[in-house]
Amino acid sequence: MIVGERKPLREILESLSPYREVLVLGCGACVTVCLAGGEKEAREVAALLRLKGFAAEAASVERQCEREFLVPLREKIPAFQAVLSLACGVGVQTLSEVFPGIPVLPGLNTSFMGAPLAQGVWEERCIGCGECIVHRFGGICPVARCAKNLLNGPCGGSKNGRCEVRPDRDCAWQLIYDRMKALGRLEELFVIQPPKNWGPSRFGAQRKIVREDVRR
Amino acid sequence: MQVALFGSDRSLPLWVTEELERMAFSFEVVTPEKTKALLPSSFVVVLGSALLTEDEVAELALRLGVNPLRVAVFPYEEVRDLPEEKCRTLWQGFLRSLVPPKIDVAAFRVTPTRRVLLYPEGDERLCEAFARARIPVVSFPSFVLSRKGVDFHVMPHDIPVGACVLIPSLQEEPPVVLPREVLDTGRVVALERLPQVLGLSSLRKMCVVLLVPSPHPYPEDWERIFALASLPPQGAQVLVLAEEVFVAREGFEEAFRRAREAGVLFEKLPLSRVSLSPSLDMRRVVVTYTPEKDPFPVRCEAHWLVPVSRKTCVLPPFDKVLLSDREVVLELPENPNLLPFATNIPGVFVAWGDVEDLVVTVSRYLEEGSIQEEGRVRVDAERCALCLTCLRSCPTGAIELSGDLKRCIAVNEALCARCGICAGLCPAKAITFEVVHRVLGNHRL
Amino acid sequence: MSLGIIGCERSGFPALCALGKEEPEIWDRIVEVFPVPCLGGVDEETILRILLRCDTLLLVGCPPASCRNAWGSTLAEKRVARVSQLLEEAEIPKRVFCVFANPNRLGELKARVVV
Repeated sequence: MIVGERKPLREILESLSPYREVLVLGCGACVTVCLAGGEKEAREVAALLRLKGFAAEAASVERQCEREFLVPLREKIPAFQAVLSLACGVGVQTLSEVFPGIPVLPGLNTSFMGAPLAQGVWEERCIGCGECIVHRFGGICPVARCAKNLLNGPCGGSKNGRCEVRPDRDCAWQLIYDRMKALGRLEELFVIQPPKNWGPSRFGAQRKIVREDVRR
Repeated sequence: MQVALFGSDRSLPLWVTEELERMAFSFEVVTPEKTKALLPSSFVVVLGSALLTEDEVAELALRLGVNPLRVAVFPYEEVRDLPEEKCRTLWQGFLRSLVPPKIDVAAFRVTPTRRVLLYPEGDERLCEAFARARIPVVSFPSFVLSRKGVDFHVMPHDIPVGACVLIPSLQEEPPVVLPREVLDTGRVVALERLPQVLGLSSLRKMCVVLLVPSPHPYPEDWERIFALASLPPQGAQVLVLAEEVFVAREGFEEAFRRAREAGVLFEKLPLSRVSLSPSLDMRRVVVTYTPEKDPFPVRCEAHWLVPVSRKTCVLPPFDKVLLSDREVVLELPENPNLLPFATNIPGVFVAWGDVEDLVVTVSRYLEEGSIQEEGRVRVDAERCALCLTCLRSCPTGAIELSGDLKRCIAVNEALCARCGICAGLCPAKAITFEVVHRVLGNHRL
Repeated sequence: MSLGIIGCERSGFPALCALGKEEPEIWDRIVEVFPVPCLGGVDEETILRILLRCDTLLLVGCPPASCRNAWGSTLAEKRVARVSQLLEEAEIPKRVFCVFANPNRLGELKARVVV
């Protein structure tokens, strides 16, 4: 899922300073699950804004990234001067496309695609490179989890299974080695990986998928 | 609405009756002597103390024959001496909170099945003790547990058990590394042997130093330590260097206070800050330590050094056996508000310390059960995002994934302690506790 | 300065009653009292909403080691720290504190409530 983090309050207050009537809009999908921008956080921010003197109200929709869920807000939105969206970057943009007449401000920094490790801990697992190769590495992605994106073995700097760039993270290659050893597939790691094609990744251009078979 | 006022105070102040009339409550006064003729729909307001426990209220409800949910306690004893106006406001707010709950709440008593699962099997002393208490015991080398209501079900045999007792293994190690030379003085003695050793010598000007590690030793060890209170009045000096003092047990706080008053010195510090060496004549042990508060090292010469061993209780790999929808992390909470021997999972006990005490605790748990209300917790399936925040944070493990569809979490009403932690954390505001916030002030949450 | 109090039913609320009996004048400053089953269930929004009506809010509950719900008090403590930080960041001159008390241990509560 997409993991985000609420923007510093000062930044939010600064961006809201020209307005008084504000709608704080949460999103019921990924950012709810990562405890950053669901109904609860929306209400919390709204309560805080009310304390600060704004006429703030909180609301939440199922998914802000889809137009269909936003349409029911049509009656509500005109009563406000601005919308503070607690969705990821996708939600913020869809919202401002659906309601071009009202300023939409982001209240969240979209951090990464990851998984919860424990209550309150999230870690990145995928960078969306567009060409999945985790099966060659025992199900552990070196592109997302190795600080240097190395595909042909570790860099040699890891200590006690920890990454040398960020010592509080696990070394992805240590994990890959342990996993492949447990699977009895160590020799597969001797295969030289060709240079990765970064074309399907975000370095090409804005990515787009069109499926003619399901398109209307 | 009918309200019965329960209290022995017959001459009630005017603000009690006036406000009742103003809010159109019809009421009668009930005393412990006169308890009959209550309408089933009536509310009972106990003009008592805020210190009445849940059990006392439940007992009262049983005696009056009403639904325990319809019994509310107003802290009359604490409030009645206040200025009248304040009383009136508090009483008003309280009465307003009595409006019947919006949802249907059914109260019932749950009692677990009278059968205990022992794991791992084969502890004769425990089996005998349970047999004496007439509690059937089952044991299996391997099994899967699943929870249905307040009972566990042992699969694949599908035998319901009310409680599980885990038998830990005990690991003992010295609290600090004792240097060879210190041992050579012959002045190091085990806690159990200390009374015998001291009985042989004169106590005047004797100095005894105890090293007590954390995790804390067994309660019996602390009983022995607190019993040393008898030494200082006889002229001996007792110094307890402890990483933590364990008082979370009935009577321990009192014993600790008495020991301190008698002159036993307790110093809280990490034992790594203690260094030991023999004295020059090899007849004493020199103990040097830096207290937490000031940076100057303290030195004292001990006639007897008592290292209390670090005892850790290693639980059997229960989480590997207990398999249902979720991972279970078993903890031993040292909490005076919980039953002794209890773990964070209701119904799972750990056999450590006194066997008889354990059996009494378990049989009380099996007999008493508790009054539960169904329908107080409401989960909105439309809102639930299945983020599992509640499941990971519930202190009693009452949250379950429901059915096969797994569209929404479910609350096991028999286990729920109604603390509201899940509702407070839920990011989608899908969990609501209907009657949780009783209001005393002028506003409603 | 007006004072709001959220007290847990097990320790905080009885403690407040005990203190009120000792020093009845505290009731003049207290504008809101909310008994809740456990402090762990009080969310940020509730705290902020009550703050609209008072200057200082105290969450009074069991000491963390004796909270019946394992980590309820600890959770409340962390949450209060977070809300305080939010208030400070937003430069709102209102304060929230977590106070641990029970009828036998009133010191901390007394220090906060009695001027």
